[in-house]
Amino acid sequence: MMGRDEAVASLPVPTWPVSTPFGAGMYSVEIPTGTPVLDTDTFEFTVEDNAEAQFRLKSTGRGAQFFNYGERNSTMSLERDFDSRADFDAYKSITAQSVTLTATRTVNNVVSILSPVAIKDTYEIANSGQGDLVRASISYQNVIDGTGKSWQIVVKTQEEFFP
Amino acid sequence: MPGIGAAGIAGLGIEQLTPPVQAALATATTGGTITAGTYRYVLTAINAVGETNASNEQTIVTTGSTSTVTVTWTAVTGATGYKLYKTAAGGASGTELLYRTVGLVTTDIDTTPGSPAGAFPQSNTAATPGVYAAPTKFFPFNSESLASTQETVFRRPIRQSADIIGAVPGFFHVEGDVEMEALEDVLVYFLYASRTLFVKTGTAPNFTYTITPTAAGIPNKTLSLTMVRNNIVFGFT
Repeated sequence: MMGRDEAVASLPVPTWPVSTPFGAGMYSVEIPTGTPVLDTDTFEFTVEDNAEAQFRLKSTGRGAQFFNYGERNSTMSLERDFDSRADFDAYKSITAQSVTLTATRTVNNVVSILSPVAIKDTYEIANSGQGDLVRASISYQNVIDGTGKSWQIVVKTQEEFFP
Repeated sequence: MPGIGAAGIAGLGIEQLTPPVQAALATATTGGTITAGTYRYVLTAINAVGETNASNEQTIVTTGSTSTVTVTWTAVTGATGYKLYKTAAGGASGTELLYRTVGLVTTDIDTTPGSPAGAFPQSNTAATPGVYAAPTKFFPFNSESLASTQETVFRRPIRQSADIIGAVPGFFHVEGDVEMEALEDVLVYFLYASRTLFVKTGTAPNFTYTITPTAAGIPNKTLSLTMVRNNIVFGFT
């Protein structure tokens, strides 16, 4: 998060949300989108917009006048059980996949993260020891699709505000 | 004295004008040309950037054919004017159309049926970027590391002084991370204030927000973040 300045603020009296976080049994990972898989964990999705504060000479305040955005990096990572070459071969051939993670608490409380064109960046497989699970650590770079989006998030909630 | 330990409050406020709050309508049977019927009114506040969503709706029943309707509302800090909307006689809720734009007043007398045109906005574009907004949404967080960066310039002239002889205030901004549990009703605020196209669909009580990245920065979608650490308040804009 980037902030321009700090203002005088009074001590707020909080009203805490009563909604609960997403937890076990509420996740669906689809690789490709539409095909749920049950061999993943440690899903992580990041977007870095590389914002920079821009200061200008002015007579009021010393805060940033605005922010400018830089290159956007959208990445994803997860671990999968390594029980087939198929995914690894897709990595070698730079074959893109669509990946969707959907977290569903109720039908109207959902967070869905879509990467329409995910290309594997690194694919790590290791034999750590006899008897250990063989797993693949995979990182993806999210690439734009034909409509120009590299990711999309859909949030279903009872929260109402007016964007 | 408050203790020093793991404690804190985090809250968000959208940096935009709030819609006005409309008082009950009043009517008089003379002085105008409004005919008998049931009319509904809403209004919005405007600034140089845009227009708020609609206020609460009020309804009035007029009689005869020479009525007037007095609309009254509370002033909105930062507004440069207001837009007033009304329905036709017997019009349904939510069908108000624009009939007048006024300046910094808090009451207006509608005297004629006029020719209202243009629906009131469903979104709020009256952004006030950089103007602190008190928090309206609080959220639990695991940790935060927001740091205030002040680029103080310490003066060290090269001649006749081996040591620093003073300081000049430098630029100031805030930057850092907040880690929180995945609450979708909070997440949506952070996604709003980012380089994204933000589309809201659905009707109360269930809404769907679709967030898609854009190539260009979309201005004027900013939040104020209020952090309380050890009972000491920071109002970041």
